[in-house]
Amino acid sequence: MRSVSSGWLSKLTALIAAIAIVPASHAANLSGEWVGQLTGPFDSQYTAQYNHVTLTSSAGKVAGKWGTYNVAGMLAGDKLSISLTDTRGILVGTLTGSLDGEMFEGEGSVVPARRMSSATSMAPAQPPQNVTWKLTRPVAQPAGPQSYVYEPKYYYGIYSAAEPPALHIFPGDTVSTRTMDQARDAGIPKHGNGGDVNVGPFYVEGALPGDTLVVHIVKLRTNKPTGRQGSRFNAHAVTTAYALAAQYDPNFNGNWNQDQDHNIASLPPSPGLPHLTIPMKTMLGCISVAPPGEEQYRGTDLGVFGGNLDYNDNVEGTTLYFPVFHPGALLGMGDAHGAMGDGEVVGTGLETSVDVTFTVDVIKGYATPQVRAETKDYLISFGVSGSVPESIQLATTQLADWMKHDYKLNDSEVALFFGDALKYDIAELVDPHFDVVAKVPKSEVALLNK
Amino acid sequence: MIKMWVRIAALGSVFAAARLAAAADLSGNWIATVAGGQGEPQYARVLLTVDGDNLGGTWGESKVSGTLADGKLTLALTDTQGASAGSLSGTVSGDTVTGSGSIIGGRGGRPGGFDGGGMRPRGGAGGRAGIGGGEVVAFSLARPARLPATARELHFTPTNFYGTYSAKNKPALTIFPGDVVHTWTADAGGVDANGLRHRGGDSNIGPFYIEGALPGDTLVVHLLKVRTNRTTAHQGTRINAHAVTAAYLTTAQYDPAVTGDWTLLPEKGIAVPTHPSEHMKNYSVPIKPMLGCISVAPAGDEQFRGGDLGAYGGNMDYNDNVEGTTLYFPVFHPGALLGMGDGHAAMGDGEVTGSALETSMDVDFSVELIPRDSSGMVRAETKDYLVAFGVAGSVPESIQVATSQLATWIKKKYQLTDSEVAILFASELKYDITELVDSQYNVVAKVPKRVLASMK
Repeated sequence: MRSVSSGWLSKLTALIAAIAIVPASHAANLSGEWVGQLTGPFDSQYTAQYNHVTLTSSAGKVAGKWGTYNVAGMLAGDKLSISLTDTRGILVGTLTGSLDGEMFEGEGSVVPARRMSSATSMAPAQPPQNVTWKLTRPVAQPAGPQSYVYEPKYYYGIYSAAEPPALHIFPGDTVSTRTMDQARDAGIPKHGNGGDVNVGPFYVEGALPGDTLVVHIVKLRTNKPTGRQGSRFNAHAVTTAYALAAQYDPNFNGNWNQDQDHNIASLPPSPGLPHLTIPMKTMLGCISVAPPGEEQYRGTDLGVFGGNLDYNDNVEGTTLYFPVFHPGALLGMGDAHGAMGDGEVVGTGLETSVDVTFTVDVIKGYATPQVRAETKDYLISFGVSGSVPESIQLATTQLADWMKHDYKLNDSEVALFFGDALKYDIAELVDPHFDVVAKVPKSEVALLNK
Repeated sequence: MIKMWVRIAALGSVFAAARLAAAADLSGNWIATVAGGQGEPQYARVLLTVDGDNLGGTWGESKVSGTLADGKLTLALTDTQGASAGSLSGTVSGDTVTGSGSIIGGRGGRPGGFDGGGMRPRGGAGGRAGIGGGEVVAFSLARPARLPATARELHFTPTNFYGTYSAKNKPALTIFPGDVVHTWTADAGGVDANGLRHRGGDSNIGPFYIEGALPGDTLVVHLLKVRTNRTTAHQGTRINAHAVTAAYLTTAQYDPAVTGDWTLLPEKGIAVPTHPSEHMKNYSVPIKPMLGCISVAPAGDEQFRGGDLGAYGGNMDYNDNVEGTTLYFPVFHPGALLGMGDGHAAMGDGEVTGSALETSMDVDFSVELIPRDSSGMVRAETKDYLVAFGVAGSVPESIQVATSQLATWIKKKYQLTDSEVAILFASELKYDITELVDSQYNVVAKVPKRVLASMK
């Protein structure tokens, strides 16, 4: 309970509260959905643990789930005391507290749950930690999915949970917005200077750490007639000898003309490329949730939170799956490309701005370590790391774990399946981290027996 | 090498000395073999013209002029910049000339075609002269083999399966550009369509000696037919350590009941697990027959095991080396010494289980030569893409080698500047990770033929 200044005022407040609670205490229904928050002595709001909590109470006895833990306890008046046990039945915490208005809060001691519920970690359990705790009711969802048109009022260039939400939305909602155009949006404020800028973040009500945020890209169209592109190979794409011998034209015109109606882009004629016309495949270079804890990254970076993934199949129709690290997930997007080859070998795609429409959903209680996606033809796992070989291993491993989880395959079956059906894409070679995609065709996945 | 050359020279003189004395017509095409004090012999295409006692013509990229008197010949070589590139004198005996002299700049220049790519084949005598004095050499000139009037259809039944890539392998069949060869390969374990076991270890059939192929050329191989010829295949059932994390590897629990045996149903275009587990009882994979190994002899005295891969090709394990694909090999030895094997009925990227659907194949192929034009590594053309392989000791290096080779190829073929090829690749480049589990890594860089066809 929040402490108020001492003296007669506090006594009066307490009296009023007591009067208010007495008739409510029996009616105060503990049953239903809650958001549980556990805050240790060294936690900030960004590192606190959040869980979906479901409780039932009957004749003073309380039962339910706190994340993956089982709850058992007593509700006496406005006093709640519960114990938590893990899935093996081992006691992992005790919490006591009381009703405070619309929420319960108190103190206790808990063994922190592992963040990734799907991980089969062999690490020893952590010691119990003194915590303060809160139970608050989730924000009630309005009846029926809503559609929003969000005109950006600012952009942000740093991936961080500290970036304040631009809009609160619910699972099922649809948002139409646009990503940044440097010319048109020169006057719009930008938060942080991290290179690539994102629109949002969108706070998705109901999303908690350990959940998966589902983002379906409904529409993605360029909204300007030009896309600018670099014309020099990045050092990670060619040999040192090639990079040293290359003679680049500093005046080379890399401003493509984009014709979204006919879905083609054409390069201003140069002597060797008088008619270079390519199909447009408009994609989002950046799409992200807030990174874990207090981590902050520049807009050009990428990681388990997504970010500058630069995958050329993150297009209209693609669905992305993000591990959620903070309440609300904090979805953002930007850095659109009219087209891009594998690896972004010149450091850019056809850099452009887009109109984008997306819908969101939340898968509660399941998350993978990194981002996944589903395109028209493939199930996709991203592997972001400090090297291409490691990215290959992470992408393959996450895809294997996904197949094992969703299709109940054993390790031999996954191996057999991948040995004949796995495909890789090298998505990103030129940014602070590397990004490799492992994928399997949905036509083959459909032949598996769950 | 010297010894071998001396033997050849001696043999030549014995045969033809008598017949020849007065007026041998030296005009026309020759193949020069040049041997120095150390290292491998070098080869050049030579064209001689005869005007009375005076000789003219070309020696590789050099110009040649000289005299012929009493069966003795002297030649002076001039490089493309007009500087002296060496002098030679020899004796004519029948259809052979042997002699000695000096050639400046080592024994010959390097073929162009992979600027800045970092790797070049070492063949091609008589090119650009370098700095420094001449090297004392022995040389011989021999007439190239005569092309048959029409391309031949050859049926070749393999009897020898070789498990080491090396120029020392004896040719199993000599063929000419244009010839079509009908043959078959055993699986990686050496088992053929009839269940007969030959040598395993990614053994190859051949080698096929291609008349006219010289170091510095490109050997073109058209895969006209690649079809499975039996109903069984076998695949590994454990994921290789390069494909998954160490954590995955150490916790994986493999099921010995999953056998990796496949039944091929080519009439349906699919393969199905022979002993399917419950989860895979409806599973099938489309058949896409490919050759895991296809190679020329590696450079110089190098030798590699059948499971290895490199600039000579070998166990590249690219799942688009299928019927209809054309491969381009740098030639390192006369005759190129083409071999192939290790057929897969289907394979995912990277060969992550260490093997694919290993089986035997019926193979038809034809060959062509592109003289004096070679790249650092193998290239290919599939139905939809121009493809460059990058074989190296790590995936990042493979990416760099593949991209560089493709860029150099496209720049030359389509007359593009560095900026133009960069912006072309920026939007149209695709990579395939073909091989993660063998002694070397293999990454493919490729561009669609669709955009190449319309951009000029």
